[in-house]
Amino acid sequence: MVNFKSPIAVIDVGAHFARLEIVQASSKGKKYETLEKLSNVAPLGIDVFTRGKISTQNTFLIGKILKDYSAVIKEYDVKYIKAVATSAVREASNSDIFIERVEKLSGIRLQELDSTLESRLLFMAIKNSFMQSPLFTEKNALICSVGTGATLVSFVEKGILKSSENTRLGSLRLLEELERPLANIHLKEVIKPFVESSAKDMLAHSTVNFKNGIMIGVGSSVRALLRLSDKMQLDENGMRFIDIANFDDLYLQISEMKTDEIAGKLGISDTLAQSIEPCCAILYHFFHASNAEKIIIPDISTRDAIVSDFIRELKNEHDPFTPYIISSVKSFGEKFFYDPKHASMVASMSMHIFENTHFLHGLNEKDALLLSVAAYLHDIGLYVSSRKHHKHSYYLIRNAHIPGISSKDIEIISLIARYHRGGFPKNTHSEYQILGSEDKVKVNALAAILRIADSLDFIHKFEIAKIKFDHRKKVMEIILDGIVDAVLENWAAKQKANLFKEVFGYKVRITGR
Amino acid sequence: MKEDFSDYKITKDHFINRELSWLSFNSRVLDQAFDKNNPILERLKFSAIFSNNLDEFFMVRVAGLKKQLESSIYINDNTGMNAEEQLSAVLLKTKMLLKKQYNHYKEYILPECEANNIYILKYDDLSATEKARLKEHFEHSIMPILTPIGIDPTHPFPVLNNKALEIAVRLKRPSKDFESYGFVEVPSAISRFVPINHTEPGKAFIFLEELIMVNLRKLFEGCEIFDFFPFRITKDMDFDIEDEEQSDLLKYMEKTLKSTRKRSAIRLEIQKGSSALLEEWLKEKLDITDELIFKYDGPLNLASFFEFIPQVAREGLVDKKIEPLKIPALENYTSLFEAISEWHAIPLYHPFESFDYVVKFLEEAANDPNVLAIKQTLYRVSGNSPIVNALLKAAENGKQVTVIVELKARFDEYRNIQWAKRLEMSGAHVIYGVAGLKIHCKALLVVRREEGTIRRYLHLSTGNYNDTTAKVYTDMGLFLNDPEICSDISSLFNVMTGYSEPPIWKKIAAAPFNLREKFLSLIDREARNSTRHKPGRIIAKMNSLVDTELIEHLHRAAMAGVKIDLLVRGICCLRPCKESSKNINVISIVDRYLEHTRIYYFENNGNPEYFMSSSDWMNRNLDRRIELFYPVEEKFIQDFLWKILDLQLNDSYNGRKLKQNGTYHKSQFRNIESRSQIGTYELLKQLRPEQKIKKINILEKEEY
Repeated sequence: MVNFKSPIAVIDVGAHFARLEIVQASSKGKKYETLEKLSNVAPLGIDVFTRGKISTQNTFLIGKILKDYSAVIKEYDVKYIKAVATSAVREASNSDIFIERVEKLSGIRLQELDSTLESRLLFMAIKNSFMQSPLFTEKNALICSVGTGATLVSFVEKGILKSSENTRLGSLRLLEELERPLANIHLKEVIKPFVESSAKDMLAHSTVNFKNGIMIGVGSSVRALLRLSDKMQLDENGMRFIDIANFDDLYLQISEMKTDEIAGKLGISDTLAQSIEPCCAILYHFFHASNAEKIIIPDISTRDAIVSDFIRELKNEHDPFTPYIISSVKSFGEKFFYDPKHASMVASMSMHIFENTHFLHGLNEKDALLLSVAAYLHDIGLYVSSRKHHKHSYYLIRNAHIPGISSKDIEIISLIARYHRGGFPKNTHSEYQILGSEDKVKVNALAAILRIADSLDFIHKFEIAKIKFDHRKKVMEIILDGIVDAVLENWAAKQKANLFKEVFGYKVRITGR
Repeated sequence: MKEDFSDYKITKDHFINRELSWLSFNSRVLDQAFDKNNPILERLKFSAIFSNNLDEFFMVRVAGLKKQLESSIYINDNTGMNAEEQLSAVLLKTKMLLKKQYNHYKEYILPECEANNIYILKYDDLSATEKARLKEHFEHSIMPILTPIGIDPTHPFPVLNNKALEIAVRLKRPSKDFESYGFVEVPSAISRFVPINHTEPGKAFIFLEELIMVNLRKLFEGCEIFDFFPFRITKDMDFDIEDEEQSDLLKYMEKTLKSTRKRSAIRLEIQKGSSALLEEWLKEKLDITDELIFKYDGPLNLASFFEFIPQVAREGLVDKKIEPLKIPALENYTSLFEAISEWHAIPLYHPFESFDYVVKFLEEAANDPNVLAIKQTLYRVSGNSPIVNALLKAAENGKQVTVIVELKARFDEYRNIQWAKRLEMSGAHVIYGVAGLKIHCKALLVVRREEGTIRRYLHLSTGNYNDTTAKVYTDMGLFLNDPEICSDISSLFNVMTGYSEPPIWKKIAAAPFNLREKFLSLIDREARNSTRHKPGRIIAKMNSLVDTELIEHLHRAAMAGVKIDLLVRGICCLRPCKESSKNINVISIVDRYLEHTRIYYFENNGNPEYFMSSSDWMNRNLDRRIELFYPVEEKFIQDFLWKILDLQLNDSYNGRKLKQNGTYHKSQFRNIESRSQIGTYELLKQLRPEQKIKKINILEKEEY
């Protein structure tokens, strides 16, 4: 049993800083009380975006910092520790070695946080920060989280997360990719068209319209950037914002400032100061491309979100983000003109079968979510071609950026969709072969269920009334509501139930009521 | 429209030279020796303090001036004086003060001691029996520990110990036809005051060096002795720690301490009428100039009377002992943690209230199974410190003990290194300071688990965790559990251990991060708020006021109408000038206990703010040290602080007022009733029962 009173520790290693926060449940109504907040400059970002990997020097630095953190953690007798590494480590080619060595040096194992999971955390944190403000649910919002290596962009329609993308526009990456042969003065000239076209492209493919909407800026360089403006305002709900005219002024002002001037003025490290101008450019072009009316800077950080999420996880509470996964999955499906009716039907029947066959597969709630996502997206490959469309579905999903779904899970989902028809999973299929045995079992079980659900919605006519089992004869009987004459379906099910029989040892019979 | 004084021109007339101001302070210390209202041995003690202070002053400040002079880098101070002018003014004033001190010693102290049957005799005054006894004592107990050193072409001039009393001898060895020289160091391991079994009632002594000198022949056997005299050298001990890596700081300090033996002499002290020939030789060997040779009409090293006083102290000759008061708020609980939880903040005013509570707190923490961690700064630790022992115990009990030991505490380094090593061996995490910064804040943080939840407790103080000085310095401590201050202090420890960058502080301010800005903004705010009808008000109590920028802002605030009261015990470089003097009042109190509390009051437009701090208003505090500044928010403590400040501002007995000409003046009407240190003690006696009542009220209310 988790003791919620005892303190928990969250460590996050980002592109500029390493931070530790120790919190405990608060007695005074507040969600939690911060006991310790440590922060150290650790310029991993510059390593990764100049050399592609984390230097030995910075590996030792992080090892030392985390070792110190573990001493502080010990002082509070902390039992639950969450240590995550975000963008810089994620993008480093030597991230595995880095994590391994840091663990050797400090005893703390960092967990790489996928960009999709970071999007999820950000969204939750932003949503919470708008608790007192109706803006988030009344307007469309473009969330821009400017990191050193990438900018996470999320499209939100009246509080519903539609989609999220991870672009390779990072404040330091941009500098690195463009600056080398150029004098500083020309930097803007190069950044401008590059960022502008990226922003425009991305917005052109979105279904969300941001006219009169808002833009939400997050990230340490965004916060630092906006500290340079004396034109920040507070709205009636206490949210800090800047309007487009003042932001344009800031953009001009920044262009004329030198890095050391910025560092001096803000009292920040040089690398963070270096990222200010490209960060400003990224925001500027997204702002203009989106036609939003103001940029809101909510007072949140990744770490806050990780803390809240970690507490929720420890309390084993329901994940409030699940509905947003489904909403962005649907929005992803729309991109490929999927059949929303069929998708929903298959998803719903999949869930029905999943729940009733728990004694056979023993999988959990999170696995159900994987099945559900696969059910929604299994046919999107039809967008490419109906021939071998399951294979097209596979790679489309495989490359999807769905907030809240880790890259490992996206792999499983894409394989479930891949096996919703056609040949059974085989070790000769390279994409399947690389899975661990536990995941292979999962793919088989969930694909088997998906095949049946898919077959039952052949003409979008039926709903499952009941599922019965004859354990002696090893038969699963699915009783449908509607016309009894279900010959067509029965026939289809025969083909579609083979995988189920192979995996679970149960035959499938379809009957009507 | 309010007049703007931000451009008010600050000139050299707004400042007092730092060294001369310090000498004024030391002269006020000497005044206490002259004050007939003090018992005789207390007067002798103040004379000893004066000498001891002067030793440190020469080792650091005069050495610094001399180095400046030698380096031929000419930097004028705020008053426009260059190093040469400063040095000559300092030496002139010092010599004048010393003359006063020695006159007083001869004319008043010695006769009064004798009137009380305490005698310091000359060898020639003794009877034959007494001499015989001394001879035996010398041969048995003293001679074996003496090491005479001969100097001749084959034995070079030795390294002489700083501040040690030495005897120089000019002699001729048997069978040699040239003169040579010798030294004997007067051992510091035994008392300088050799008791004589006197026939008369009372106690009599002769100086150890005199006893050695009459027996010189025994030490330099067979030599022909021409002349000899006692002398003492003071060495340049002014060294800066370069920005060394932290891990090397310990080694570096050990090395530095060893090398200090070889440092050059900054002062030579001899007695008047000493052999000129021998003096000339010594002068040449020590490479010292005439103005740095001090000749006294009396014994050298009056500071050594510190060890004399306990040998002769008796009722009537020393101050009556003040019994430290008990604090009801802490006595009424079985656990100090419980008391702090209940009260949230409990002030302690030392030495009138016992320092034992701090030791008790630490001991309780060390033995409490619920305590997880203890963090503390240690600056000047007393010998066999109960604080260190409690920390050792805590580490042995498996607590996470973090101790930040400041090795650079002036002249105490060796002692600090000893304790630090012991702590480290016990498993405590010992940090030897922060490179380039002296750790001067005094904080003790305890992390405790209570029913699964973490609670933190703090003790902050204006004074060091030193149970010995806590008996003679006035200092104010505070037990508290304010979560925001606890969190700030936790962060400060993380900065000191190198675990984290400084955060944005919630309630405190800390040097060298934002303390200067904080002080400046508080002063400027008073100036802004000040109107003709409602002037701003600042009361600041500290040890020294030196920082140029703060002085400028104070002058400007005074011009803007802010009433400024400065209770500055020691150096005050602010000179109340013609225009600002009606608003600036500088008072110095030198009394039985060394004033050491730092309290800051700002009127803040009718919402007064009170702060306590480890920091003075010196640039070294604000720029080169880790210092702590924290608000006192509890009304009952604020009221108490107000009363303390009020008592001090109205102390006509030992308060001295700084005049425009830079001199300090006694009140014309000295009233013993207004003596603030006694007043504080009385105040505490009255206040504490009040708290008891308040406590009962709280309980009744809850039951109701």
